[in-house]
Amino acid sequence: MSETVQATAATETAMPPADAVVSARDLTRRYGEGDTAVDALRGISLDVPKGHLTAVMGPSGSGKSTLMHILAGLDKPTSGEVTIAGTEISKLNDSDLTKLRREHIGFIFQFFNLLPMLSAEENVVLPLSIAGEKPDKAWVNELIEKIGLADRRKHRPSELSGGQQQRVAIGRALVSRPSIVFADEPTGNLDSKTSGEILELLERSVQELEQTIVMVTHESRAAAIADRVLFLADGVIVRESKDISAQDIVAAMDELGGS
Amino acid sequence: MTKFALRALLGRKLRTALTAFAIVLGVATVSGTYVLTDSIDKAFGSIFTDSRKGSDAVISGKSAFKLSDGTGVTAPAFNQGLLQEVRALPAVAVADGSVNGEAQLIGKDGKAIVYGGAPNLGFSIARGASPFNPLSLVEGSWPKRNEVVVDKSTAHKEHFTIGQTIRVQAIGPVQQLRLSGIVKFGSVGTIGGATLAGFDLPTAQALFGKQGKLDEIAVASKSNVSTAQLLTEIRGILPKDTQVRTGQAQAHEDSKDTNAFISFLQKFLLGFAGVALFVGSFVIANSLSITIAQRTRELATLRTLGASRRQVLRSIILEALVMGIFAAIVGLFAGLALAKGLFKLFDVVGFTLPNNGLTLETRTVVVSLAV
Repeated sequence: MSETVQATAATETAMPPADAVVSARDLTRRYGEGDTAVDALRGISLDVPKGHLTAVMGPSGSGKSTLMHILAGLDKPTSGEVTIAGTEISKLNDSDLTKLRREHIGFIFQFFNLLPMLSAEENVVLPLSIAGEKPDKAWVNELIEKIGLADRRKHRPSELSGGQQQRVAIGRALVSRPSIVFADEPTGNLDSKTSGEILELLERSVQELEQTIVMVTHESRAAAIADRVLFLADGVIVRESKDISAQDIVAAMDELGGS
Repeated sequence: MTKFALRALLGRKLRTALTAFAIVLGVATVSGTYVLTDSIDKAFGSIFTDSRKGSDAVISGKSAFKLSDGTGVTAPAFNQGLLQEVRALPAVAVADGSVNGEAQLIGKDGKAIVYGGAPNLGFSIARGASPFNPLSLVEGSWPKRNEVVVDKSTAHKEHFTIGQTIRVQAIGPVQQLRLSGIVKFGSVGTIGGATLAGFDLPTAQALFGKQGKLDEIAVASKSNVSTAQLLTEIRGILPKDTQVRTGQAQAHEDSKDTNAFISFLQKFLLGFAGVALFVGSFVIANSLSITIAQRTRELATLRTLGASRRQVLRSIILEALVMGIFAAIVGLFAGLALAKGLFKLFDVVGFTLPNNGLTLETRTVVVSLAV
């Protein structure tokens, strides 16, 4: 299996496919220097096609969080290139990166990271308020309807359950219709029932809104909804599977953990 | 983002309140000090202006030498004969001579009446109707020979009644004088805890051992004569050991001593305020940095949602600014209350300061807000 990945990576090095929203080429990331240096990423190339849900899986320490941070422009790679919506981001300065985030990137966090003093609706439209844009009322209404919070608009995050808070966070990630949404362990802080609901919501947003999502997770059930799963171990992609079932993911993970 | 900063303040009521409280305390001590000393300053100023209000010119003895800070020199008395010469001048409408000194009133219990080290002023009152007389009668009559008038606050505290005999000591043995009246000074309720004792001229001269001499001659010019002309005429007949000043200049001269005292008090209290503010600034800086540390995640979230570095910084500064301005204004008014409280406190410990109502100087406002 690992040979096939390397083969595709080699052929794609020249030009990313036209429909790729996010592309990465030969990413490495080294923390520290000299003897104590740790290589979190050791040469990763990937393409995220538009309208797909891509899951990144791997045991803890495999580099999946580092990969996501670099793909999202929150961290810089030691070497390699990242392209988001046609823009090579490693050379961007701070204000251009900010602009890129506003227009092209949405985030969903494990711990929701909602602003406690704002209501659910204000949290959802926050990226637009920050950008100084006027929210499109119809779209915001549709979105709040979709995330199932029509009757919770005026509630503060502290008055909402964990699942409801994550719904607000998803709404916030989608409101600017970004080219790509990064979800970092979106179900990591939820019980299995609400996890299921959140995953369903993510799946629907891909199908109904043609949203492109990259999700980092270590839960096989979460990864099972993805169109494609990338398995990461020791800073490299060791396996890539399409439309894989939860059982097969568990098996694959066991194999990674055991090897 | 503006809305966000304000919401952040409201969202953290307790922390905001504590930080604001530290600012309020610091500003209050500073503004309170300024208000207090300004008020005292103004009250003293009005005392001296009041006491010279009828005088176009004041003749006094000239010290043989002058201390550079203008304090501590009591001008020597001069000969009474000068008064007749001054009165004879064509430009002079009225002229009255007076003597003054320390006159210790003795209470019913036989102890000297002293309020917190304030002076015991004794002076002669030429005539009750004299334009130079800053006092007004509350009850009784102006003193005649071997009589005395005292200020209202002293009479009240010592339960003096008109007609009774009061013992007074200046230079020489204790004298028994009849209380003929109770007076008050100009517009001020009390002259900073000082006791006032007024006598007629011969009694005062005897008390202070200045028989045949005067400390001062207050002069009012005729209405069609300028002050400059009056001064020129007086200078023409002045003996060597005397000098003449305008009433205003004399009031200014009088206030030099007290200004030194006030500026000491001001420095003393500002010292306290400085310490309070120094400590306060640490509290403020500390709670602000804690606020930011605790909110790092929140601010990081804002950054990932597309807020620029400048937007985040601006929201923090705005937050600090709104709180700072609000707290400073509250502190300013707390300072007014504090000054009022200080007046009361000084009063309680017997160190009555002249109080003419609180003075709010622009400087106070500016300094407090700058802090």
